[in-house]
Amino acid sequence: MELLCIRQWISGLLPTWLSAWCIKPVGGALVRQEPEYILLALMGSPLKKIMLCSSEKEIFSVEEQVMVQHSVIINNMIEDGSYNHEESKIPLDCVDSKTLKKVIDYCTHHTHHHNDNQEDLEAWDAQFLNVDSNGLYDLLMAANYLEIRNLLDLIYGTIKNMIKGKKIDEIRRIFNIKDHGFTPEEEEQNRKEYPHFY
Amino acid sequence: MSMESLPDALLQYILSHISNARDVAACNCVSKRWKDATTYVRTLYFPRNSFDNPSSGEIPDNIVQRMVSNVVKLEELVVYSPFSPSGLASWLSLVGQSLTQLELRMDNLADNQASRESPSKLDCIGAAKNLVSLKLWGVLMINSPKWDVFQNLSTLEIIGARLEDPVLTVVLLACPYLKRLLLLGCEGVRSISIELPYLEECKLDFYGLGNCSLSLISPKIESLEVQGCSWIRVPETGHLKKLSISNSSGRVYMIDFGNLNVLEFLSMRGVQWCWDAICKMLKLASEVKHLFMKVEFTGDFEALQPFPEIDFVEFFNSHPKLRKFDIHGAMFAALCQRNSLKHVDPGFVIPCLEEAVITVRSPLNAEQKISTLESLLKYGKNLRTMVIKILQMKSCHTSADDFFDEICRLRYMNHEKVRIE
Repeated sequence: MELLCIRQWISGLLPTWLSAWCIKPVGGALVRQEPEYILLALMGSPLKKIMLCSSEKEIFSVEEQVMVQHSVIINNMIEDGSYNHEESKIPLDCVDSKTLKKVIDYCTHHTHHHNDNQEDLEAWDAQFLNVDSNGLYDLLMAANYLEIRNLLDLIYGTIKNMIKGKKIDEIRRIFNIKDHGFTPEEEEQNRKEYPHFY
Repeated sequence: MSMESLPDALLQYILSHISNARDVAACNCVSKRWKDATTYVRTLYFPRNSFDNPSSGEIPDNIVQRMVSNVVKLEELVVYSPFSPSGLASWLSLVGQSLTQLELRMDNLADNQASRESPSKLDCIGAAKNLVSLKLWGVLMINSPKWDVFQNLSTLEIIGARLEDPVLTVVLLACPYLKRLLLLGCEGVRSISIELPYLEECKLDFYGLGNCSLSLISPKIESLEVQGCSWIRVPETGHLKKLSISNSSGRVYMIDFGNLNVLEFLSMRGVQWCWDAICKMLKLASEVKHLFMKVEFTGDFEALQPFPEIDFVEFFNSHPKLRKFDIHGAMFAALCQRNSLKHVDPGFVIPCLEEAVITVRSPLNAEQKISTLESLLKYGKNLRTMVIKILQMKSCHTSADDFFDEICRLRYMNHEKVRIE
């Protein structure tokens, strides 16, 4: 698209508060900063969006760049051309809306904040994973399906921490293990060998 | 859907990364499915206190053996808790083939004579033939271990050991493919000759009188740190980038190195270095970018001597690539000489220096010292930071206060660059 058309299109998209913000003082006078460049800078160059469809048939629109950076599966689909921007949406039948929204949240935050310092990112991640074990399970399955490496590693780490130092009965409760599958003799033997752990 | 419907593959992946033995043991008891998944554990780590409260009557060696036997292909075993040679032998008979990393707290330094037990713990280690990395803590090495050559061993770390020279030689002969060798806190070494053709990183820290002799022939060596030697010979240094020589108890009197064309970092520390050794070292390290000098005295014999003067201009001209310079006390005083700053060539410049850390201990020769500091600022066109550390100055003399005032004035005049600690 010709630069002038892009400028007009973007200016049309701008809410008034953003236009107003584009005025800044330079050397004593108020100068209008080109808003379209600010918007481009804010969002990263390609504004292309893609559509993801949850198992509940809800459509989520997300920046292509964000998903391509994080999900190997989506990256492959875009690269091999099987995704057509005009018409297609990517159906994700094993991911429900609630989980898909969270996954998109994660990817978007990490793309836009990748320059933040380590502590802030870790704090955000900890908050992000503050969900119950069912929610965690859903996130794990979605991250596994979409092949989002850093989210997977994050969840694996969290699950490991849920196991470390815990007693066996506690672990069974956290992971909702109702039937341990041992014979009564085996269970008794275990309790004899490691009484501290129960 | 919840955690208990986690697919086997994911469960195995997660549990295989749990390494603390206590956690693995707990997982073994959580459920049958989890017990099957923990067979894929890759590392087992037994902390020091693993068996402090024995519950059942079982002896720790057997518990370790049971856990080791539950794992299909153990790669790494770390045992800090006490064990016996027969225990170690039984574990290694199970996993000796797959084990690539072994770390043991041997705990027999306190033994005054080698136990007559045969085989010893050290001997047993030979059963782990495919080791890539071996790390031992607190070892008594006065009997040569009966080892075959470790074909894959690339890292050997021994921390806290009582050695005898012939034993160390035998040990190194069994590891000809080593790339990393660390001998830290080792006592009893007098003279050692190391010939390891693939060695890239070597760190030696010898306790004692500080009079060990070291000969190192490893043409690929890139990083070398030596503490406690007085005689050091490293003829092949074509790849050496990082060198640190220090001796806190003895005198460094002979250093013999090949050319140090790619040396980037040099640290010289110690109570006493022979002047010859210092000059030789500084001359060889002409390409160095970061130089750390903290030697208290010079002198070729027992008597501790102060340093002769080092010409400021000549020093910086012979180390043109110097970017970071750390200099302490006595050596800084040597650099502060009256004559070298009197007639400085107008084209003289210290081109690359960006950071200087200077530690000053005494107010003697204050005028020269200030003048040297000023010269550093004047000729160091790229100097960004200068940190002046002032240590334990005996302030019973008024000159100390004057000196401190002068330094503060210097700081004030160059406040973006100079900082006092």
